[in-house]
Amino acid sequence: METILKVEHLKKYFAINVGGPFARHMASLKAVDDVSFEVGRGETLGLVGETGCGKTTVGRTIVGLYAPTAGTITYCDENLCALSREAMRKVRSKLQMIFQDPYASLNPRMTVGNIIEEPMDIFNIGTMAERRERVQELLRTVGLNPEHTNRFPHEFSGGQRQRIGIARALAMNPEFIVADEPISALDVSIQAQIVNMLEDLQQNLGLTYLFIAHDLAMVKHISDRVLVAYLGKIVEVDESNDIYKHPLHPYTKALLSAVPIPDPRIEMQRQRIVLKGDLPSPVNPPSGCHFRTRCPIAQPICAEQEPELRDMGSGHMVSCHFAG
Amino acid sequence: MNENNVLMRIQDLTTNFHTYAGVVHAVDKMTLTVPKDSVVGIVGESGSGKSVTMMSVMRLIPNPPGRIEGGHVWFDGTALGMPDRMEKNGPNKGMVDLLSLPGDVMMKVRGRHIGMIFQDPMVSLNPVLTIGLQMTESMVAHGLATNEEAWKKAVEMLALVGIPNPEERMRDYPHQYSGGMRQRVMIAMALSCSPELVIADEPTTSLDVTVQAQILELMKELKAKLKSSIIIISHDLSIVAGIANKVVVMYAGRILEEADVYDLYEKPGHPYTMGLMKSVPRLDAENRERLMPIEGSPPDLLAPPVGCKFAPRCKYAMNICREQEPPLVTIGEGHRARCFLHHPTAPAVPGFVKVG
Amino acid sequence: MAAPTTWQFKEGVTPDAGSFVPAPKGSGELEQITGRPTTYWSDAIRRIRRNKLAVVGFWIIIALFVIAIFGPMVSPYSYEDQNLENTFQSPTLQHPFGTDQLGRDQMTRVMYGSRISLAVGIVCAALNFLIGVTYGGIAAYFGGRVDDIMMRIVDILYGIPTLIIVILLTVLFKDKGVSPLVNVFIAIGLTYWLPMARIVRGEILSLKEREFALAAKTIGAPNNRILFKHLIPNAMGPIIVTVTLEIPSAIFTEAFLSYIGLGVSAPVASWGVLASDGTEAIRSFPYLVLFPALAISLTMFAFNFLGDGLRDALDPRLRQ
Repeated sequence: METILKVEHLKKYFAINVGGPFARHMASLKAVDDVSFEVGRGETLGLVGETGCGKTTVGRTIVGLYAPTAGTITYCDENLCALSREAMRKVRSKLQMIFQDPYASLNPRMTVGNIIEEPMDIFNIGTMAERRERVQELLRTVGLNPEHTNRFPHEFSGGQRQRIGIARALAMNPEFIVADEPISALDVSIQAQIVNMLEDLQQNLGLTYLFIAHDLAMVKHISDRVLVAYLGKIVEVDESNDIYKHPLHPYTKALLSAVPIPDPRIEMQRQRIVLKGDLPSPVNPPSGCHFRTRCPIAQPICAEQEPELRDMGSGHMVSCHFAG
Repeated sequence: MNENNVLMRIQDLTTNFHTYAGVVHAVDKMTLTVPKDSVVGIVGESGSGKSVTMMSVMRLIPNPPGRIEGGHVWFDGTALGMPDRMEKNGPNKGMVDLLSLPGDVMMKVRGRHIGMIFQDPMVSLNPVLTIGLQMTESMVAHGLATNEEAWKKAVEMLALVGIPNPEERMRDYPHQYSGGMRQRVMIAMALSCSPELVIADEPTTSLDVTVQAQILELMKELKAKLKSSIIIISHDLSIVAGIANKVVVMYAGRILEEADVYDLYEKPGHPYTMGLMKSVPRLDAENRERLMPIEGSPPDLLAPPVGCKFAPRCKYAMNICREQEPPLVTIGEGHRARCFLHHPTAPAVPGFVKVG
Repeated sequence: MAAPTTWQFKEGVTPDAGSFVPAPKGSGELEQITGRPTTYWSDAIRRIRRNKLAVVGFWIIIALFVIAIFGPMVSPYSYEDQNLENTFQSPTLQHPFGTDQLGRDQMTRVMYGSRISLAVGIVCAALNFLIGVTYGGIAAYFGGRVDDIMMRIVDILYGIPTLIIVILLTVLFKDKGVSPLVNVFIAIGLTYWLPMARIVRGEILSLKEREFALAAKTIGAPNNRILFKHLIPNAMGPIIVTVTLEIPSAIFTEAFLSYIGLGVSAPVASWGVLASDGTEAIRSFPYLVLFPALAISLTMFAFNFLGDGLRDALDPRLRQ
C-alpha cells in the first residue's frame, strides 16, 4: 500500500507554568514525545488511548493547528514543515479534520450553508451558483435535507450537526481526514449511523482516515490498524483483528481488559487487570518506560532504559522490554 | 412492615417542564420496583428521562420550570423510621410516599436514606473544603455522629473505597485527587450514612476506561459487602451488564423494557433494545460486521408522536403503533415490554422472542 | 402491583386485521428539524422584553432621539434667541423650562443640548468600539508576546485618570483650529476604549480555543478572516453591552468638560454649558440647573438600565 502520510519522531511540547504561587517556573508539558508511524492510502488507522496520551495533539499537529516542536510530517512525499505558507495552505486543503463536539465545532452565527461553503469561499472556487449546488450535493451526501441551507446550527440535533461538520470537511475534496473523537459526544443510537456513513464515504470517495478515540471497541471496529498511545508515546501497533487476541504490551492488555462488553455472562465473571496508581504527570513523565509506574511486570531495567518500538513480525510493533 | 422485600416503588411518576416553548414531557407515568439488596440498572440515551426520574425521586427538580405532576414514590417506612407516615392498608402497606413529605422531612431523607453519586466529581465536590470536612458534614448534619466519630467513620469509608493513606488524605483538597479518586470519594460520601438506597447517575461517564474499570470493580465489591440497593443509570449497556440484577430500558420518558439482566441481553423483548445491541460494536466480535444503527433521532419531547414513541424509528412499526401507545405487558418471569409485537395477532419478527 | 398482562386499547381504537400490518415510513420524516426558528437575537429580545426597567430605558432613549431631532425644529424659539425683557422667568406655559439670564427659552436649549449629547454618545461609542474591538481582538488572537505587550500598555493607560487625559487632549487641540465639539469627540474617543479592549480580549481568548475557530483554521482561513468573521461576531453580546454602557460615560464626560469650560461653549447649548450657566443663579433660580441636570441623569439612567438588561438578555448561559 502506498504511504500517504508519514510521521517521524514527532514531538510536541507545550510551555506551561507550574508550581504554587511562590515557586512558579516554566516547564514543558510533553504531550507528544517522539511518535512515528505511517498511514497507507485508503486505510483507516485508529489511534486510541486515555487522557494525557497525546492522541488529540497528534491529530491537531498533523492538520496544522499546532507547529511541531521537533520531527517531520510528510504528506505525499512533501515535508509539510518545510513548505511556504501558500504551498502549505494548498496541501492543507487535502488534510481535513472532523471535531469532537458537534455543539462547538460549528459557528453559531453562520448558516449551515455558509459553514459548508466557507472552504470554497476562502480558496475562491466556483461561482455563487456552483457553490450553492455543491453545498446541496454535500448535504445530500451526508444524509441531510438540502433545503436546510439557511438554518442555523442550533436548530439541528447533535448527530445532524456532526454530519454538517463532515460535509464541511468534504467540501474541498480532501484525501486524508483526521477524525478526532467524532462520535464520543453523540448518543449511542446515533453513533452507529455516523460510523457507517464514514465507512461509506471512505469507500465512495477513496478517503484515508486517522480515527482518534478512546472507545476501544469502536476503534477496533472501524480501523484496519490500531496505534495504542500512553503518555505521549506509542506503546503498540497492530492490526485491529489481531490486537484483541494477541495484545503484547501490558498497557494494551490492561486497556482491553477494562473495556466492558454488553454480555452479563461475560461481565459478571470477568477478572480484570486493574492498574495500580494514577496517571503520571506529562510534565514529569517517569524515566525509561513511561508506563513502568503502573506496570504489573516492571523491572529495574524499565527505569533505566526506554524501550524501542520493535517489530514482532508482520507489522505488529511493541515498545516493551518483556513483550513477546 | 412490608412483606414484599420491596425497598422503593415508583408508581406512575410524571414530571413535566413548563418552558416558554411548551410543556416538555420528561417522564410519563413511570413505574418501577426496586427490591432490597439488589442493583437496578437504568439504560437510556439523552432525553430518555432517566436522570429526571431520579431527580424526581430525590425531589431535586428545579421548580420552576419543572414540576412533578403526579404519581407516588413509595419507600420502606421501617427503613425511614417514620411509622406514622406509613400506609396502613393496601398494596403499599408499610411504605411512605416520598412525594408527600414536607420539604424539611425530605431533606432528612436525602443523604441519610438515599445517597447520590453524580456524574462529574469535578463539579460535585466543593473545591474550597477539605475532603475530610465534606465527608463528615453529612454524618454530623444528620445527627448520626459527633465530629470525632464522623471523622473515624470517614477514614474507614475512604479505606473501604480503596484510597491509600486515608488519614492523611482527609486533609487534602479535591484538586489534589485524580479523577478516579474523586469519584471514589463521592462513593464514600454517598455511603457514609449507610443509606438504604444509593443512586449512581452515570458514575463512570467522565472517567477513562481503565479508571472506569476500577470504579465498577469497586462498586461490585461494595454491592457484595453492604446492604444497600443501588440504582445505576447509564447510557452504556455494557456497564450495567456487569453489575445489575435487573435492567430497565427507558426512552422518551417511559420504560420500554424491564428484565432480569441475563434475560435482557439474551432475549430482548423490544426493538429498541435489540437496536441498541446491534448498533454497538463489541470488543470481542470476530469480524468487522457492519453496525446496524437505529435510524432517525430521539423524539421532540415538546410534541411527542402519538402512539408508540419509538414507532417513527422502529423497523417493525405497524399501523396500530402509530395510533396508540402499547401498554407494558409481562412477557416472562420479571420481564415486561412495551410493544405490540407481543400481541398474539402481530407477525413474527426474526430474532425477536415473542410471547403470547 | 403487576403490570397489565391484558391488552387494553383506548376509546375509538379497535384493532383489526389491518392494525398489525407494518406501517409505511414517511420519507424524510427521520431527518426532521424542529420548526421553532429561534435565533440568538430573538431569544434575547424576548428576554429583554421581560425586564421592565430595560424597556423603560429603551423608550426613554427613543424619546430622546425624537426630541433631539424634531424638538428644536418645532419649537417657536431658537436656542440663541434673546429676549432681554423676559429674563429669569419661572416655568410657564410659554416657557415650560423657564428662561435664563438672557431671556433664552430653556426648553429649546435643553432640547438642542440633547443633540450634542447624543452626538457625543454615538460618535464616542463608535470610536471606542472601533479602537477597542480591534485592539483587544488583535491582542487576544495573537496571544503570547503580542498580547503581553499590548495589555501592559492598556494597564499603564488604565493607571492614568481618564479625566486628566481628556482634559490634556482638549487643551492640546484647543487652539489648533479644531471645533470644540470635534475636540471633545477626539478626546473621549481616544481614551474610553480601554474597558472595551479588555472585555473583547477576554471574550476572544476563550472563543479562539473553541472548536469552530479551530475548524476555520483547518479549512484554511487566514487570520483576519478568523478574527473578524468568526470570533468577533460571536463576542457581539458583551460588545453591545459595553458600548451601551459607555455611552452614558461619554455623555457625562462631555457635560463635565463643558461645565468646566473645556468643551463647547456659549452660545452653543450643551447640557454641561447650561448647567454651568445655571450654577451661578442656583440660589435664586434653581430650575436653570435643574432641567439640564435632570436631562443628564435621565439619559444616563436610561442607557444604564438598557445596558444592564442587554447584559442579562445576551448572556448565553441564561438562555432558555
